[in-house]
Amino acid sequence: MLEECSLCGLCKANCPIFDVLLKETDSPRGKIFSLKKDVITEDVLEKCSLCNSCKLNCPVDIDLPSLIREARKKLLEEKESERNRKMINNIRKFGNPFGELQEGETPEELYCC
Amino acid sequence: MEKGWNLNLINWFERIVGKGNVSEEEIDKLVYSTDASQIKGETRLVVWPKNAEEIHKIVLFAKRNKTNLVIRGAGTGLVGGCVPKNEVIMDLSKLNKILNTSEYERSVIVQAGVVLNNLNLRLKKLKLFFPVIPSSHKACTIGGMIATNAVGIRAIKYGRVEDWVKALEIIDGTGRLRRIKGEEIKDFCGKEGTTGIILRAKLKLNDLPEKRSLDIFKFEDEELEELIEKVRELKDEGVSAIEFINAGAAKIAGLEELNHLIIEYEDFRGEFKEENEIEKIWKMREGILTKINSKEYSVSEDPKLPLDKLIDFLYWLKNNNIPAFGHIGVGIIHPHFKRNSEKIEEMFEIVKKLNGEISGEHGIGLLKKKHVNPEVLKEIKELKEKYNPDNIINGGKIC
Repeated sequence: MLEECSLCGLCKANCPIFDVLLKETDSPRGKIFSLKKDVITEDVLEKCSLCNSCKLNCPVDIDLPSLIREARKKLLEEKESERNRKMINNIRKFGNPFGELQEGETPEELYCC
Repeated sequence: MEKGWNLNLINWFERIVGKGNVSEEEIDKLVYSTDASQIKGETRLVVWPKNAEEIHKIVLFAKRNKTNLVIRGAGTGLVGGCVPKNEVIMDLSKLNKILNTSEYERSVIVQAGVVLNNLNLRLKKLKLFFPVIPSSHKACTIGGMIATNAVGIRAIKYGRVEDWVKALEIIDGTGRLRRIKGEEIKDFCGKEGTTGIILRAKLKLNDLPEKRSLDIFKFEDEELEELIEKVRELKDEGVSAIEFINAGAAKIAGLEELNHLIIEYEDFRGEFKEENEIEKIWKMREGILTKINSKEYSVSEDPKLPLDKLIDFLYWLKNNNIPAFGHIGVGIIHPHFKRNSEKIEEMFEIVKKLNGEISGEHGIGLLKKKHVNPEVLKEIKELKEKYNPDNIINGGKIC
């Protein structure tokens, strides 16, 4: 699936993560490229909301959310994730994954299960 | 705090843009080493400035230290315009504010990193739009569009970006902030960032057409003369787009293996009138490039030919089984080749013989440097002498 990506960048449109962070590395195209090159990091893997927007915009139907899910699963099988633990604690304590936030405040760290 | 002489490059940039806005991590360097051209480059580090002041400081630092900068918008270019050669990438994505819209003047002021689609979504409420719309409109930025003097599917009616720029604010290679108007705008449109870094632009806008419809005409390979005749007729009818897909490209796109013309009218004379039908057809057309690229035809060319010479070119494409599509209304065709195909050089020769231009819209970048017209080369060198004498901005591009 990854080999079909021609790096056109159309997947970046409407990506809620790229919209906020504005870094190519955190965009769907950046993630596909770093998965392809096997250099993706835990931090980048977690910056995806699995919303499927990239999949809908991809002209060759690359299913990046499924690839992200698989990569996360593999990562958790290898080692316990500090960020995952932090996120679960936040949900238990504050009722949301981001921790204590004031009204209108943007979280400094993003998490997704 | 560390003394200046004790700092390495990343520390200097951190001083300007703050931690988190500069990186020399392997993953960032790798992701920023290429763009939609798929040309492989090498990144020294990546910096994400947030405003003009930081960009000014970065340029002054780069000038003083002879550090080459490569300016990047959305990275949707197809000729390696933002591929670095062990240079610093300056990503302008954080300059993404729509600053001021004037309904009365029908104009808007935007920062360079604004994505075209986001701008047009905002303008829709005012029944206005920026009408130069390339296939990458969902991702491409205004700064990148100005640097490449983008064209797009409605070029037959609305022309290219330079026709819609009222004023620019740039920082040139000497670090000078310039406000550009009138004739000088041409020194920056289509110069691929070799003359300065575009910070913001004042753009003219058009009324959003209230009506829209499409027609699709299909032609056998033996009917290419009829197809050209149809294009000629339609050009006189004031349509807003005439797009061509040859049989080879149509097959890859999942259409009937025939030559297609897609026509857009700004009234209801076309067969397809429903907005969702129209969107579906344009989505298919905009996705063709990616579909063809993913089938190993990763080199996308963009010759521009006079209408009376197009027939010879279309036959050459057909006889060599080369998938192609393009803005046939303005003579721009996008043939696609496998990397290192001998047919690419053959095509350049044919285009020259038919009095065409090697690049109608993608630009020169890294890919077509050896084919630059000597007059263009002379012009760029003179402009660089004026605006970017130390060649620190997009140094290796065009020439």
